[in-house]
Amino acid sequence: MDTQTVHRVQAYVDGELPEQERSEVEAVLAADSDAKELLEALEEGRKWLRTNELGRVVPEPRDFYWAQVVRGIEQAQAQAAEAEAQQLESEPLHREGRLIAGWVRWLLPVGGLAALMMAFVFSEYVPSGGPVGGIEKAASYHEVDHTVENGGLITFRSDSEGVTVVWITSE
Amino acid sequence: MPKSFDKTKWSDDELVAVARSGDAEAYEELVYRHRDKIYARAFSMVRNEDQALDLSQEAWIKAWQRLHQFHGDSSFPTWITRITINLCLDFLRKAKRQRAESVEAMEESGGGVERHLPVVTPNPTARLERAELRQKIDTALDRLTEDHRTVLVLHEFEDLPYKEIAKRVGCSIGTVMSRLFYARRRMAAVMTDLMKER
Repeated sequence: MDTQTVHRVQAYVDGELPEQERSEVEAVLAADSDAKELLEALEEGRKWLRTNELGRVVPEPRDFYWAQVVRGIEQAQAQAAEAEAQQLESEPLHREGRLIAGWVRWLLPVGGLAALMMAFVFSEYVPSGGPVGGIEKAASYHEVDHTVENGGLITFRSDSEGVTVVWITSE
Repeated sequence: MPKSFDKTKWSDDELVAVARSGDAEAYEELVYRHRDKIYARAFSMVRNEDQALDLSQEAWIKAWQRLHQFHGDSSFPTWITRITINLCLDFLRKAKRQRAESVEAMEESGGGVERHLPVVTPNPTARLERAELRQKIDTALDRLTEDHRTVLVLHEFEDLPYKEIAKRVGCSIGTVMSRLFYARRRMAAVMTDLMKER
């Protein structure tokens, strides 16, 4: 007898088969004496096992057993109260943390964008130097206007003064 | 509502209703009524007196905390027995992680138990007195592996269907069927041996 047949006979005994499959197993049982013997052995075993579980008695006096249950309930309640108190205590910290996290979420990309734009501008428009003083001095000033998506970037650099001013504007 | 002040005369449902509002005395009566059954179920699964005691008490503690979840879909003893079974399964899972699989379990997965066991088993329970039979069944249960015993207990004593056992144990229905068959044949073989020892 193959494993599948064995399992189907067992499922038949346990009432786990749908009606159609029950009929199929019944046909097998009618034709196969081994399957029939297996069925009888399983039914017999099921009968004596189901009706003969050994009863057991708690090996402790009633009061002692109950006292331990009460102690466990009290401990569980104390733990739950402690956990709740800790959660309440940490609530303001959580709120502050969430606030900071919110700011960081906005500031990081804006700061990153600004830094990228500055790096780009300086690499593209490095002045070669020029005359110093009077009207020529003005000629040494370079002004760059660079627009970016959702905002703008304007830089103003003077080599002679050694100063660069950057404006970041938003639309 | 209950008419008598004597809670020993109340039904389970009446006791549960009052215990739910925080009446420890009503709950104590429930514990007293069903503690042996709960302990017996825990013992049948873990086969150790101390562990069964701890698990049965834990079940009562959990049941108190979840009393508001009991809606009477099943009887109170059935409900708390299910809690006990889940605790025992958790306990067995944790214990199993800490040790290697038994040789017997490996044999099972290695080649299919059906080929190693005879199909025909003489009725091993013939001529036994009921008390003796119960004692021998208990001894035979002791000789099963945890996996096989668990499936057998859940199916034969708790009457859970294959699908429910598979869900609770965390395996396939095919594995449940295989374990159940192996457990039954092993039980029959051990019972036959025990009969010879008489």
